[in-house]
Amino acid sequence: MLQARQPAASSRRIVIMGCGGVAAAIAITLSDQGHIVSILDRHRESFDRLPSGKTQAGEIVPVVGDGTLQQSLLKASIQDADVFIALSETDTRNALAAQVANRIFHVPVVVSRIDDLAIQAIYNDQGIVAIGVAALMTELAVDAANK
Amino acid sequence: MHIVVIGAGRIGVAVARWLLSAGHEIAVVETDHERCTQLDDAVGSVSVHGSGTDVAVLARAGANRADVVIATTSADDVNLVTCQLAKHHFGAARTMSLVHNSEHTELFGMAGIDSSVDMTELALAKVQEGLSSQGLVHLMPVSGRDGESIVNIKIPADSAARERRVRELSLPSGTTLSLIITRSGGASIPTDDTIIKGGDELIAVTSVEHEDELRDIFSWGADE
Repeated sequence: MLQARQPAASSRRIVIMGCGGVAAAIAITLSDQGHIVSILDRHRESFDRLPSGKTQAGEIVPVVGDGTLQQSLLKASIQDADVFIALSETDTRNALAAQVANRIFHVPVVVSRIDDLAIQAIYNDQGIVAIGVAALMTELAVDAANK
Repeated sequence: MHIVVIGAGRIGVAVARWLLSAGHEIAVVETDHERCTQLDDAVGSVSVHGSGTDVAVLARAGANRADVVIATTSADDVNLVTCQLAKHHFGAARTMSLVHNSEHTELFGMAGIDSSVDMTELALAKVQEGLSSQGLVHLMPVSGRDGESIVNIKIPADSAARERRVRELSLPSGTTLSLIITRSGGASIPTDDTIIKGGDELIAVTSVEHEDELRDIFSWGADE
């Protein structure tokens, strides 16, 4: 599904909040495609999930900070970002950060992980692409069952 | 009205008690079981155990018929999402929320929260108010004398004027100290030799343009 190591049509500046397993995988894939990725996490240890080659080469820029706070987002150059992706472990923190990116910094594309279906439903008509485990797995399982 | 309060911390409980005393029907959503029990023991059965970001819990709290939902937890993200759920999922007429980090206040407005209480701003304003009105309170205007009023001055324990005689204070012109009330409660008319002590209260007549000067004379002793 995800195509790695293909040059991007145009390189985009992407800020990711959270550096858990899923977020690190997404950061690596986007970086492989030639995008410029900054990744925020409150805990420095989380950046151990990133390949050291990529961080040393500046292809992925780790930033210690809280992605719900403007000061931290600015450290990750949110004002120049084309895309913001909120991928922390907590729906409410993702929802807050996504709205800060969307409404305060006017980032053109904002994606937010929201696992709770009811909470997810709030944001899709507000200029935020809300994605979540429940919705994705439902889609995949239903597709598979109907094959 | 039916009002749903989110969070049974200090502020949530205070809000809940006030709403009950004002005759409203309330439900208080709280994740901590012990807090739920304490609240129910204190004010009657009003608690709903669970998270305010869980629609099943909000439904049990009657969010679908709520006139107001008030988010009082200590987490801005939880308060924001709870209010948005109340509005979008349940159609709550009015949402209110505490905001702890001032930079989120603007966003809460943009995100459709009807009123936000900026806790940092509120505390700051109270501190500023406390400092600027340091001890000087207007009691009444002096009739027939435009711009003159009778004021009450509380002398702080560390006042710059403490242990000093009235004659040493260089009071602004047109200011008269009329009455001194000591900490023990005795009242007397101050003379030039009266010694000011921390904890005293003064009743004085002064004019608007001399108020700041008068206040500074009796405020704490930082600028000596």
